Amino acid sequence: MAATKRSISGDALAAVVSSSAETEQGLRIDFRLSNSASRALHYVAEPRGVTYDSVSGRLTVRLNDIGRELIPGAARVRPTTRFVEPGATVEASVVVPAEITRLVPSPDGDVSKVAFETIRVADAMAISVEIAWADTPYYEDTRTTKRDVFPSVAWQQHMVTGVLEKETRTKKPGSRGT
Amino acid sequence: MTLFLQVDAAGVGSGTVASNSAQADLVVVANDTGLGFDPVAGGRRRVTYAQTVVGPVQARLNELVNTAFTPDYGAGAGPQAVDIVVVGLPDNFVFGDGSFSTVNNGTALGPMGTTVPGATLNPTTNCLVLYDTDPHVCVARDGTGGDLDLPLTGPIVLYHELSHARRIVRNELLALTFECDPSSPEENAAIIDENDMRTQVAAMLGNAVVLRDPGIHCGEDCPSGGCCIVATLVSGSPRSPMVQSLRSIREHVIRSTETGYDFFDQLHYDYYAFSPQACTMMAGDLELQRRIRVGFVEPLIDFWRFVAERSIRPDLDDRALAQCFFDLVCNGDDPADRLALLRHVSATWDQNAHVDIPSGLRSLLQSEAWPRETIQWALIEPLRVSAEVLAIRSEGVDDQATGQRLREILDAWASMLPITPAWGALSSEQLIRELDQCERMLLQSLTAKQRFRDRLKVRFSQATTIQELEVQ
Repeated sequence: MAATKRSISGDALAAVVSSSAETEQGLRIDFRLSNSASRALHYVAEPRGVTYDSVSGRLTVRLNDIGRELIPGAARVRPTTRFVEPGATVEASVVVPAEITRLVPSPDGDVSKVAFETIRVADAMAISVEIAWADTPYYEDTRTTKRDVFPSVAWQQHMVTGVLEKETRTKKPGSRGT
Repeated sequence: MTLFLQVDAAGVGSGTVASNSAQADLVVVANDTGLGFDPVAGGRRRVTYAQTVVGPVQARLNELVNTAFTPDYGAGAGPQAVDIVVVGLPDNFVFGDGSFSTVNNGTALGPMGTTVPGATLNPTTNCLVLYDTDPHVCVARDGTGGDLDLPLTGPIVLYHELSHARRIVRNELLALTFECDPSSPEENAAIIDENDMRTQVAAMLGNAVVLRDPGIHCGEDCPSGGCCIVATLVSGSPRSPMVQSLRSIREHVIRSTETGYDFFDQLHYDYYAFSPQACTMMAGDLELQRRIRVGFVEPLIDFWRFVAERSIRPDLDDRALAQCFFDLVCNGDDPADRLALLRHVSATWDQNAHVDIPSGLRSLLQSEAWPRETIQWALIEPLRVSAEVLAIRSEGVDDQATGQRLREILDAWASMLPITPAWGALSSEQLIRELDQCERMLLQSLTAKQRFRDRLKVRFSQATTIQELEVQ
């Protein structure tokens, strides 16, 4: 039996980041996902990571595992996924910490010391939300394979990015697919 | 000297790392009075250990604390001294690759400048054990074929990561793979070690041993097992019938649906914004605890038992509904006594009332509890509803008429169910299913159903599935 060709267009899922607000839980980011395809599209629904460029003030919220390093861990926590029905729009939200803490080299140059920096990201001038999606649900491939990416990265077909530019209030929120 | 506990970190103030929790976890791991901690020096404490207890966990800890590890990672660098530094991570920690600590819940990073996995994320020459001291992840229970219902705890995660750390500082790390099912050789070995810790903890608590499946390294979010700290305090035990009742209501009434689960998450978050402090304030006041129990916790449980009963008996006529209400909400008390009790408790929280309650507690509740929508709807309004219906009864109104009024009062309350974000992201099939459950559980009249649907449409004006909902 011939394999079914999967060729869903990367434009089928559009994202618009509509607003952000700091709450007690952290920075809440609201976005809309619109599916123009004739089948349900499945997306990663929880933040897996963030990056913050303090020069440009851009916060990137990753709803995907791209760029994640393979390291030992207590458990490989699977991403939560949801789906958008054909022709439908959903309103979704994610919350990320208002401040993030990360490891940095010790300021005095002593490489035996552990040092952290804490950065406030809730005041970001721009927020990008990168959302991994595919036209089939995520499932764990339990075949023993020599894969060189995380299963969630192998699963995703496309990524849609919604952007909220906060410094130019007249600019409309945008969306771009990759 | 090899093992350290990070207490503070250069460049940031005290409290950045969860050092108290990590120290407590190390004490649980050791389960031996031979464990010690040197004074803080350079932002960290050296761990000392003179083993007095025989066991696999203690033997492992003894090796880690009392061995000077000098691995040779190759590339011509020769042997290098490597310490292990344990760091209890803050909630907002992000690795150098941008990922949240919650995607792994813990890790052990090889020293910088080596080829050990994670070395590029480590800006130090130590082996860093970084872990979440309060994980909310469940992993595969052994013998189930992959049921992810076995919780991780701080000491378990710490011991798992110390297993990785041991192989890193001995330069014996096994292969890692991107898949979690089946687990990689390295994770398989760490889970086998982790099961030693699970066995030790079970023995300490007098519980049966439940082991993790070494063949599966996957995990997923699992719900908190705790329930209602106030009820636990006033009833004296987390396993009291009162707390069990609340837990049952939570699992079978509130959290049985996707949106109910989301609602409970918010309620849980809001509740724990004030309840630990409230418990501290009540801790030494037995009379106040009694009043909270009989005037608040018990009536609340009785009300929710009535709601649960009504959901499985939707065909009750007005008279039977009123009788059901009085049977369950009064719970054997005279309705007039129950009304007086509810009114007394209500007055307790009134700022101007001359009732003996610690002012700090009243202020805490007024600032942190009352303004929260979920707290109002789930914990406060039910008592007002109960009092209102009991007041009708006290005026001599018969069961038939009381039942009619009860229906109206319940409709008004139920249709104001707080709307959480999960509603906006549902597919049409999910939305219909969730609404159906919600309507059977809470919104039994057409008026209540329509009022709630209208609120959904206002809240999610762009969500097509919600905008396309039919008018009732």
